Amino acid sequence: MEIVAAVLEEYAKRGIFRGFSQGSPRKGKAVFKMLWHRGRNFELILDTGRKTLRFPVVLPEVPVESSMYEEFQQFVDAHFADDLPGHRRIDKSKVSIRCANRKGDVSLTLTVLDGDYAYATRKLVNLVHEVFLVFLFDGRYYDYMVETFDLDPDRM
Amino acid sequence: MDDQTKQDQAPSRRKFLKVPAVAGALAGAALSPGQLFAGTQGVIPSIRIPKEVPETLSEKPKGGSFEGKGMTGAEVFAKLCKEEELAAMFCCPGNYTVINAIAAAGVPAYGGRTEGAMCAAADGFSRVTGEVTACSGTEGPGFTHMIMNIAAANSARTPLLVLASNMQIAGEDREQFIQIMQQQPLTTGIKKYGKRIVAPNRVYEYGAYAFRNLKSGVPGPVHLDFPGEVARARFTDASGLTDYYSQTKYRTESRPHPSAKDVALAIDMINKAERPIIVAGQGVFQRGACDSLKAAAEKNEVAVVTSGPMRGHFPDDHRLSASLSPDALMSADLVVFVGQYCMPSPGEYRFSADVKTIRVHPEQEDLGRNWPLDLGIVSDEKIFLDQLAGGMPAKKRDAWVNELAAARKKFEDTNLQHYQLGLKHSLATDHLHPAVMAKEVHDFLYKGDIDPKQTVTGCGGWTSGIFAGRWLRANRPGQGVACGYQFGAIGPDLAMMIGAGAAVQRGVGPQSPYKGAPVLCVTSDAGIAYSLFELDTAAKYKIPVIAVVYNNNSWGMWPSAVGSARSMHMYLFQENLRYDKMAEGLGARGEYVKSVDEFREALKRSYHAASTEMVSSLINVQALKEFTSGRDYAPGIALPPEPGVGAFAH
Repeated sequence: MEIVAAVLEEYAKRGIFRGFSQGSPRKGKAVFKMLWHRGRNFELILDTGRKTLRFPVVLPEVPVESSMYEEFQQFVDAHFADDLPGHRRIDKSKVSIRCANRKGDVSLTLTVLDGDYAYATRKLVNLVHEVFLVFLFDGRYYDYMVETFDLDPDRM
Repeated sequence: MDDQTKQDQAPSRRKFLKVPAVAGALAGAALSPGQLFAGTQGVIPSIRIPKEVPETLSEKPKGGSFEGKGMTGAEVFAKLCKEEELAAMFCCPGNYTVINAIAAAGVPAYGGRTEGAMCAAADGFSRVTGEVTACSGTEGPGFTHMIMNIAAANSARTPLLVLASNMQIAGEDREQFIQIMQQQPLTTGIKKYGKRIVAPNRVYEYGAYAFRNLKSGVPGPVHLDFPGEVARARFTDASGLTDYYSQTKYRTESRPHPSAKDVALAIDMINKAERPIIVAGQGVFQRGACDSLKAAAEKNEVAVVTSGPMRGHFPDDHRLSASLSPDALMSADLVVFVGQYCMPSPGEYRFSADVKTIRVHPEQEDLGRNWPLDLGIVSDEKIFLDQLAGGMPAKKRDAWVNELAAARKKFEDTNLQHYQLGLKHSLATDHLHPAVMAKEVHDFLYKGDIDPKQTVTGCGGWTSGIFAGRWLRANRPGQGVACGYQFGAIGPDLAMMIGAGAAVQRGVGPQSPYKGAPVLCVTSDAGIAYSLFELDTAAKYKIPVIAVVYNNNSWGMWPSAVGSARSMHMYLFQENLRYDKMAEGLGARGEYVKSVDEFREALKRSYHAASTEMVSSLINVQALKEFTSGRDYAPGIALPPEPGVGAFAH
C-alpha cells in the first residue's frame, strides 16, 4: 500500500495530477482520489487482498454495445502486443488488465501477478493517461467529447 | 433564364478587366465626381489601383529634422522607429500625424480596410520573420476594433507595437467632440507594456521604453497612445527631449548565459536518456537559434518537435523531427523545453506521465510555472543550444530514430486513411470533404513542381484548421503560421497571411530566398468574414495570396447545438454563399470548386496568377457541415496531437 501511495504521490508532485488525496486504509483496501484529465475527479481503488488496482470510471457514458467500447478494449489489449517497443509494452507476465462496462461507466482493473506494485501502478496510470491523450484524440470521438465533457474551443 | 445566361450576365472580375479603354480614360482621382459618373454610364468601370498608390510608394523617405520648424513629436517617434528598424507598419487612417511620420521616415507601411485585420497582418509579418512590427488605428473605434488581434498577438508573444491616437489631453474628462476613451485599461492583460504619453517632451523616452520591451526578454505587444499635444508638439533641437540618446544606451543586446553547472547537468541528463526530445518553441525562432538547434540535435541524435505560433524552426522533413510522429512522443523519457513561452500543463502535451523535464527560459520567474521541472535553466535559447552542441558527446540512437520514423509513417498512413474516407464522401455528396481539401493542398505545394520549402502557409478555422493542420508542412524557418495559436481567434487568418505575404514580398529575414513567392491560407467561411475585405489590401500592394475557404455553411462548433432547443439557427449561415464572387468584387480572382479535379485545377490557376501577375485568389471549397461529425461522415474531426504539426494550443 505504501508503495502505491508513494508512486501516486510522485505523480502529484510532478503535476500529472492537479490534486491528490488518500483515504484511510481499511481491511487491505485504500481509495486514492486525483484531479486529472479534463478536470475530472478519478478514484483508484487498491485491494491488496485481491492484488488489484481499479479505476471504476475511466470513461463515462460509453454504451456497452458500441464500437467505441469495442475500440477501447482493443486499445487496452494493444498495450500488451509483442511488437511494441519494450518501453511502451505492458508485461503480461507481471500484470493483467480487464475492462468492464457497467451502465456506461468504463472501468479498468489491473491484477498484480508478481507483487511488483510500483510497476503495476505506473503502467495503469500511464494507460489511463494515454486513453485521454491518444485514444480520445486519435479516434472518432470528437462528438463524444463534446457531449460528455462539454468540449469546445473554450474548454480544450 | 437558364444557368448559362445567368452566368453571362453576372459580374465577374474578367468582365471588369474587359473594359480597360474606358477604365483607362477614367484617371480616378483626377476626375470630378460628375465626370466620373458620366464616364460610367452604360458600362461598369473596372477595378483599378489609384495612381497615387504606386506614386507615393516610390517616393523617397523624408524624415523629420530639427531644422526650420523643427520635428513634431510624431516625427521624433518615427525617427526612433526607423533607427530601431521597425520592419513594417499596418494601419487604417487615424492617428494621422504618427502614421504619416512613420511612413515618411521610410518604414514600410500598409493601409488596409479594418484596424483589426491590420493588427493581424502586423502579427503575421512578425510571425514569419521574428521582427518587430507595428499596427495603428484611430482613437476609440479603430483602437477597439484591434482588441481581438492584440490579444491574439499577446498569446503568441508577438513583438507588436500597437499605436493609436487618443484625442487631446486638454479634452480629457470633458467628452469633448468624439471618440473619447481611456485606452490603456482595455489592454490590461493583453500587453507586455503600455503607456499613454502625456508629456510631449518624453515622447522619445517612452519610445525607448517601448523598444526596450519589444526587443528584450520574452516578447509581447507594447501599446502606446498619443494625445494630440504629444504628436503635434514641435522640437527645434534635442534639448527639449528627455533621455534623447541612442539604443546602445537605453537597451542592451546582452543575453542571459546558463551556468556551467546547469549545462553540465543538462548534458548528463540528455546523455543518460534513451529517448530524449527537445520541444523547440518560438524562442528558438525569435532568437535566431535554428541552426544551433539543428547542430545540437544532430550531434546527440535528440528528437525535436516544434511548438509555437510559427512553424519550421526545425524542418518537418528532418529525420530527427517528431513533429509528424505523435505516437513516439509517449516514448520520450526526457523532454527539454527550449523557447517555449506559453507553457502547457502536464496532460496537455502528449508525453508519458513518467517523463523527466528540463526547461530553458530567459526569465527565471517563469521556470516551474504549469509544468514541474527536474531542471530549470535561465538562459537565452541560442546560447544554451550552442553550449549544448559544443559540450554534448556525439551519439547515435538508432532505435529512437527508427521509432520516430515508424511513428511518422503511422501518422501519414492515418492521414491517408482519412483522405480515402473523405474522397468517398466527396464523391457520394458532390461536395469536398476537408481531408480531401487538405491533402490536395499538401500534394500541390510539396509533391509537384513547387519547391517544398517555398510557400509560406497558415491555417485557421475550426474544421478547416484542424484538417489542414495535419497536412501543411514547414520545412524551413518561417514557413508556417499557426493562425489561431493559443488565443483561438477565428478570423484573423487571411489578414495574418497577407502580413506574412508582405514579408515574403520584401524578402525579410528567413523569407529572403523566396522573395516574391505566393503565400497560401486555409480558412473557413466563419473566419473569412473577419478578413475578406483585406483582399483589397492584398491587391493594392500586389501581395499574392491564395485563400482556400472551406465553406460548410456554418460555424464549426455547430455540433454544440445538437439536442438543444431553438439553438441550431445561431450556428448556421445561408447555404452556398459565394465567397469567390465577393473576392472578385474586391479585385481578386475567384474560384468555385466542389470536386477534386476542380480544386486541383483551381490551385494551379491561382498559383500561376499569384506567381506571374501578383494577383490573389480565393478558392471557395463548397462543403457540408456534416463532414465535421464522425458519426455522419467518418473520421470527423480528430483533434491535433500536441505538440507537433497542427498544434495550436501551446
